[in-house]
Amino acid sequence: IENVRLLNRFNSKKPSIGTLYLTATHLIFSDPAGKREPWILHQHISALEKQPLTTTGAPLLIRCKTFQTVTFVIPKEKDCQELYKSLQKLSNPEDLTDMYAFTYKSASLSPSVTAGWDQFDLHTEYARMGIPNGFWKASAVNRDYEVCPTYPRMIHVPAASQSSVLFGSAKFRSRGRLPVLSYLHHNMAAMCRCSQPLAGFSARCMEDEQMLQDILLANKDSSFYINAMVNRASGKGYENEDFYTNIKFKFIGIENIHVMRNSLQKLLEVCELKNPSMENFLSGIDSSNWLRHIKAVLDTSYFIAKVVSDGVSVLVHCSDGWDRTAQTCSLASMMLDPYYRTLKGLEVLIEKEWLAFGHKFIHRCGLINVDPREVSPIFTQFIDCVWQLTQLYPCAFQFNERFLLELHDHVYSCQFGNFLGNCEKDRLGMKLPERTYSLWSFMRTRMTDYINPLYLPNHTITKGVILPDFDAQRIKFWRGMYNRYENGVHPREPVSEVLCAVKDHTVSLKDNIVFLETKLATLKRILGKAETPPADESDSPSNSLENHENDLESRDKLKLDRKSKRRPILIKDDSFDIISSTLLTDAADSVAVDWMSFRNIKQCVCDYPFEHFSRKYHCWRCGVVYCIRCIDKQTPLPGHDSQRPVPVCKGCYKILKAGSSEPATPSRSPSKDPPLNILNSRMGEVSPTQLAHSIQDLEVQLAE
Amino acid sequence: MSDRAAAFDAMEFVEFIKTPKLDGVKLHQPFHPPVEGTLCVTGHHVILSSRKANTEELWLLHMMVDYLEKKFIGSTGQLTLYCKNFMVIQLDIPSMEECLNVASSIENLSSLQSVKMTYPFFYRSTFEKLEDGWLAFQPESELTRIKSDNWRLSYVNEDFEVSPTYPRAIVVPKTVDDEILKKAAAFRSGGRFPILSYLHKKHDTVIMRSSQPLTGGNSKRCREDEKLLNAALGIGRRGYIIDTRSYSSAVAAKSKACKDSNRTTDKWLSRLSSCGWLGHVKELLNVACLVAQCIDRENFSVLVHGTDGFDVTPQVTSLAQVILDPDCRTIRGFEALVEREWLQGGHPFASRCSQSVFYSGKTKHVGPVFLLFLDCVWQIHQQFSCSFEFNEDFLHMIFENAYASQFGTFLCNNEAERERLELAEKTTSLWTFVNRPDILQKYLNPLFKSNQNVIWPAVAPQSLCLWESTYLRWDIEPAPRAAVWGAILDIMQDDKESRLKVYALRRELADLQKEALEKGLIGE
Repeated sequence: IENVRLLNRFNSKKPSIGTLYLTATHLIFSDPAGKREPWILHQHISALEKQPLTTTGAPLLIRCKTFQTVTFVIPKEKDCQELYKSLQKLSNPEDLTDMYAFTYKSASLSPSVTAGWDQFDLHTEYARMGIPNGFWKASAVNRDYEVCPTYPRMIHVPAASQSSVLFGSAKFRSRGRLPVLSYLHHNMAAMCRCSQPLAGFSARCMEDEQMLQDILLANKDSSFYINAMVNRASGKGYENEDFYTNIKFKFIGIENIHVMRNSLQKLLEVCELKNPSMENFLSGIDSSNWLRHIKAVLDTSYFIAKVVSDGVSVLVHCSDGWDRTAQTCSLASMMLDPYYRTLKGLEVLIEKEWLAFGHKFIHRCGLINVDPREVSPIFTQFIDCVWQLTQLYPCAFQFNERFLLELHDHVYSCQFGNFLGNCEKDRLGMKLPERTYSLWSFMRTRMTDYINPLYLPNHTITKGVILPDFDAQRIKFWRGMYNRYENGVHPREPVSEVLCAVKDHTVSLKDNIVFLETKLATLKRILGKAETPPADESDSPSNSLENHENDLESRDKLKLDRKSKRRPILIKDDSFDIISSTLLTDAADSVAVDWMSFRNIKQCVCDYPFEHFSRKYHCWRCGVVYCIRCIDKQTPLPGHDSQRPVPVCKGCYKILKAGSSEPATPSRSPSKDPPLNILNSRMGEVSPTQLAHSIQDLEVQLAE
Repeated sequence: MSDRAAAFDAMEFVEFIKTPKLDGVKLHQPFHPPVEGTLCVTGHHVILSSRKANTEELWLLHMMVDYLEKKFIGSTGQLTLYCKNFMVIQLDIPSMEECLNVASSIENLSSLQSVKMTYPFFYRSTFEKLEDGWLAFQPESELTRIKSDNWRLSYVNEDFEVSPTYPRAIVVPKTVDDEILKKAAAFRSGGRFPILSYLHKKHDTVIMRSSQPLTGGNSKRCREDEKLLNAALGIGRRGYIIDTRSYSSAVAAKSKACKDSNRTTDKWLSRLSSCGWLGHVKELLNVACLVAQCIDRENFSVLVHGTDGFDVTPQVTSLAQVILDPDCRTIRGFEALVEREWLQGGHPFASRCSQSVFYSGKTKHVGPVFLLFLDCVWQIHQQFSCSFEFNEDFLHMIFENAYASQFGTFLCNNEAERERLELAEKTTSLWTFVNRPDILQKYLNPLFKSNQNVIWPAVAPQSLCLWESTYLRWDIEPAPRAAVWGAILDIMQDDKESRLKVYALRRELADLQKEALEKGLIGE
């Protein structure tokens, strides 16, 4: 459809005019200048609204699950009507098999789709916590999903509990979701989760009571909490305190999914106000109650984390044990265990608490046409809570805001198979690993985009348990999420982007320093000036690294340094056939010393406009800023000692290729030690083996 | 404080100090465990020392105390001190009588009537003076900075007779003589006729400031005033007059800077919204952007005036300069801005900052006008984190010193009063203290990279935040924030060092290469 106007919310006088394309998966708008080019995934469309006709045409408002809203004005009403109908259909698939994930073909991911699917294993995760041990064991009672269809096949229960106890307890709990272990703290206090008991007032279940006693006894401390997020007044769904000895109860009111849905709805209305006054905005946010709900979730998680860190076991349940329980258990784990604050850890946490224990992604996220009353932003709320934590402890998390946003979007996008299905059993039936890509493997190829430059895992305040102070004053409105697509409201010089670039820059320079030092040593020897043996020379780079943080890059760097130490200097003389002066100068200068500042760069040289959250990349050779599409090449720079491939722009890539008569990969390139920066590459440059290597590498580092 | 000064204090203030020394007092401070120690009340300070590690646990200026609350539990007195920097501390004093004594001493000493009795007059700096802050930002040197032939310095107000609240030297259009200025002054409230505030070199447009015209009921005109403005404007150009009066009344309605310290959780947002502070922030930023837009985009000169021309007017003019002028975003430039627009411009610091938000008595002239300005600067700082040479601690430090200080900079209401008290001779300037390399170090923004552009801040409600590190400073655990800045500093430092090293090594390499080439040891 041509001549479509894309309305700008703040400036309705200046619409951009362009062409709207409807493809099988996306709605694409493009204007002739290529300035604005929103792609909208059909899956992301949450609501369509036809607005009253105007003189210029029929406006169609599209709201997305990523909190983007766009209005297209379509000249002919008939076209608008048709577009409306087809979008309506495309955005609401009836069946899971229509999902984008089944048709999505990635250029950047390895051709074997199964990559990334085997990364997570429940068993490994529990083994990380030291299970099985004398108190906890893995149980196979749910092998055929008969005890509880929404639990994983393998569940972890007290070693003392007999199968009969497990069966009995499952019968007593709603949907068979019996108490199972979710997280075991190193002080042996356990966090368990289940659903509400089918208690009524008088019913009791000896097996369930036995089960809880077993959990209680699995911990040295003899007290035990049940943390129930139910409305006690309604009189159902909680344990009768008289029947459970030695157990304390804590009832916490977190509202149900319907309240949350309405609350977010109200919040979004506030976000869409045109030129609101400060008072209207604040009171709007206030009356939406969204921040209050966030605080309630965080407070509850805090309570659980506090109790567990004090050595007391907790059993958490809401009604079905897959919404509020998933939220609070995962947030509490995050406060307790630094592992869950890493990229890998958050992934594990989502795999465990959300996917394995059956959060109903299909229904809650409305992935297919379901009962609208089942839809609720439970996962969005969880991501929001994580963001609040990152705000309170900016140095405690390995991932950044971009990671959280992309994770959120991809839960809704259905581009990857991970979130298709309500529980493990469903997903198993669909054979997802064979038919779809995994989000995690996709994200691994882009790891450098997700690193928080401020991450300090070994700082005194970030290692170990964090127990933040959730004053209402500290819970903030997340404009990066709910107003993401309004470029006008974001900081103009985002600190973390600048720092990321600076860190990359430092890595590049240090690599160049090592190169220069070795060459200097060689020259000195030629000139007969060599004062000291190479020991001195290899000292300096490691010294300068002393105060450097232990993040991915510097670890990688350290590794490289160690390598360069190992390499005797004489070999270098041989490999570097002595010596062309111009070549040497060229090589030394092939590393950009100064990188262009991000300031005032509104678009890439290719005219592609940078939005607030689109990452800008530097070419490591010329230091100019490019967009993701222009910097898809990776190659080693002659001035880098490590000779690992780094991002360069197309122009520089050509120059480098033309300049070197030899193949770009030098003979001493270390193949046994694949550089982490392969993860930088985005488009089609990663071979499966490389990917596998780099993932292993990453894991090693995360484990360290 | 030297012993001599202390002795002098004791003599001078002995009538107020009934209990100079008291043992067994317990101090509760935010983020510190309670300590017990000896409390001393001197002429200017409340001091508490546990005498353990040879450190003072508390060293608080009386001037910093805004409001004081007494409570008695049994025979112990609880003294809660609410400070102007929003800190709240509590002292447990074992005897009721002593408690009352201490309380009355602090109350009296925190509201001294005579400026000459205040601490800056007694404070003797022990650090080495590299430069006298009192002389650092003279109008003469500031005029040379703007390098324009159309403006001159007039000494028409040398005796502070034309306008008691204007400085001695004033920048006015060259074509206008002092007689016209005098007549124009008669037309403006408080004699504050239009003067130059900022010259935007790009378009040669200007921001002028003045007070409201005394038009009276029959809309009187004043030829001289018009002439002055026309001269300022230049021939054939148009200008705007931005009248901030409607807005200023809103501020005058005393925006009680949200008493955030109350930890009432549930109603936090509604209280934040009803206190209206962020609303004022937004409006002020809006007006400043409007002015900046006229100057930079529309090519118009602007005259800003409120009622008196020393509250909202400097807020608007100085904020517009922060947006427009890269110099104002450096440490020295910002100091010059405060000096020019606020101190020489006659913002009545003594009246406006004599009390703060906790004080509930009659406070007709009190208002956080300057704080609102600093808050707005911080908002812009948030959005352009790399464009400012200073960090937020710098803003913080200025805020605290404006309310209570050992330095004389923010004493009095205008230059005339300052001259009368000979502040420049008798007290030390804050700038003298701050502008020394070892102190400045603390206030440098590691991310700073000079930005010569006009910076347009976002003013949408979503973009404005509460200045937590000021208003919630005593409620928020400082460690995570400190860790962030530590990390940033390390990253930037590491990068800087690497860069220098690369340059040095490349130079060395080039030299050696040359040598080797000459000796024929290597090829071309």
